[in-house]
This record gives sequence, C-alpha cells and structure tokens, in this order.
Amino acid sequence: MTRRPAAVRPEEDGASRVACHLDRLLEARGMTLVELSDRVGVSVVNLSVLKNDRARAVRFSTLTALCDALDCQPGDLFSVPPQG
Amino acid sequence: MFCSMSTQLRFPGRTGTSVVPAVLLVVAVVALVLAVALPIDQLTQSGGSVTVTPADGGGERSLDVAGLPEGVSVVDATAEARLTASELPAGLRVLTELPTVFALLAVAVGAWLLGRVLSTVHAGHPFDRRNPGRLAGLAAAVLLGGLVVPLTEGIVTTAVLDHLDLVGPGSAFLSFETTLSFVPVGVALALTAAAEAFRRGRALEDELEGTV
Repeated sequence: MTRRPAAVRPEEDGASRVACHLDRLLEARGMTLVELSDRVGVSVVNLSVLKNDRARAVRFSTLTALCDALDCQPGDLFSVPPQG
Repeated sequence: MFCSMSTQLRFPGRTGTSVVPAVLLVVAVVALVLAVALPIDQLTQSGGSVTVTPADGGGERSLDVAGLPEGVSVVDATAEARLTASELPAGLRVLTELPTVFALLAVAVGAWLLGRVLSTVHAGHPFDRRNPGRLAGLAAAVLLGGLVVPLTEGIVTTAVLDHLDLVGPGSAFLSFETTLSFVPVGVALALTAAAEAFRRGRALEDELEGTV
C-alpha cells in the first residue's frame, strides 16, 4: 500500500521558499543589473526586488526575457530549498 | 532598440485631478459654513418662507413682459409658489431652513468625498483602501440631497401651514406634496457599483503587488 504524499499548501502569509539566483548568474555572465534591465525591459527596481527574494510572482514574459538575456533555464534562476 | 511611444488622452488628466480636488474642498467648506450660518441667520428674522402648491394647481399665469414681438407670449407654468409669513415661532423659523441645510450638508459631504477620491487618483493610487467607502458615502450624499431634501420640504411646509391654520378641507394649498425623482437613485446605484469596482480593483492590486 502506497502512502499519499502530504498535501502541500501555499504559505499562508503569502511568502514563499523560492530562492532567486540572479546575483550568481549576473556575476557568472559579467553583467550588471542595469545592463540586464536594459536587455529585458524590466526596471532596475523590479529586478532588485527579484534578486533579493522579495518578489511574490514572476510573469512568464519576464521569465522568458531573463532566460534569453542570461542564456539559462528557469531552473538555473530559481530553486526551492527543502522545507524545515 | 525599438522604442514605442503612445499618446493617449486621459480623462480628466493630471491637471484636472489636481485642480478639481482643491475646488471641491472650497465648495465643501463654503457649503458647511452656510449649513451652519443659515439657520442661525433665520433665527434673527421674525418670519420665514416655504414652498407651497396651490390647491387649484396654480395653472398657467400670463406674464406681461415688455418688448415681446407680436404673437409671442410668456407664461409662468410652475405649479409652486413661495409663501412668506412675517411672524413665526423660533422653532418653525429654523425648520424652514432645514431642507436647505440638508442640501448643503449633502453638497459638503459629497464634494469632500469626491475631492478625496480625485486626490488619490492624482497621486497615482486610485485603488486606495478608503475609496470604496468614500464612493459609498458619496452615494449616500446623493440620496440625501435627492430624496431626503424634497421629503423634508414637504414636511416643513405642512408644519408651517398647520401653524398658520391653512391645512384641512377648504385650504388654498395642498398640505403635503413632494416630487421625488428616480435620478438620484440611479446616480447612487451607479456610485455603489463604482465603489464595488474600486474594492475589487484594490483586491487585484494587492494580488499583483510584488509581481515582476
């Protein structure tokens, strides 16, 4: 008999455990936040929000533009560390 | 890099949303001052006046206006008249101003609330948390001005006519008549719908906050 995995509920206070690795990718690509902002068309303020894990949601259009500009995959940009 | 510019005429525009709230604030203050001053002023008078409707319907009254071309005439087709009593008790004197006070309070509250809503629009925060409540309050002010004021006029007129012993069978005036329009109800409903739209807009804005 297989056990069903425990139900996964979204964090009740709206926060999430998604970690953004934008700073690591920028360093690896030798790019600044301002340069990235010019390439993807997202403001430096919003990119800073994303980089500091303060974003609550990311549009697919933004994600696509970031992956194109940084030549990476979504999994390179974001990860979810284990709970606890 | 391709740069696109869009020119879009926005109503009422930044100038409108910055000037109009200031004007509305002045209107609100003036209306509030008058709402307080008029009853006090009426107390200094010996009498007062109310709007009455002659029992015979008034009919059309031909007016003798000089300089009219041949074949042109002017008639007064209004059914209402103004009754002025030179002596009234203090309570009734103040009461004659009650419809005007209610109307001025409706104007003061409505202008203030509308001004606050437009201020938040000008500041770039149209879905301010307080705007749904303000719009609901504006709807109430419209109902006050559109429905309560005419009703109050009828009640006050009846009270004055009763004091002057001009009510009852054989009276020259209709004892209680008021005209209610559905326009204020329609406007209030529209404002209530707008309040709900602003509430939902706030909820959507909360959902989008932090989205990049």
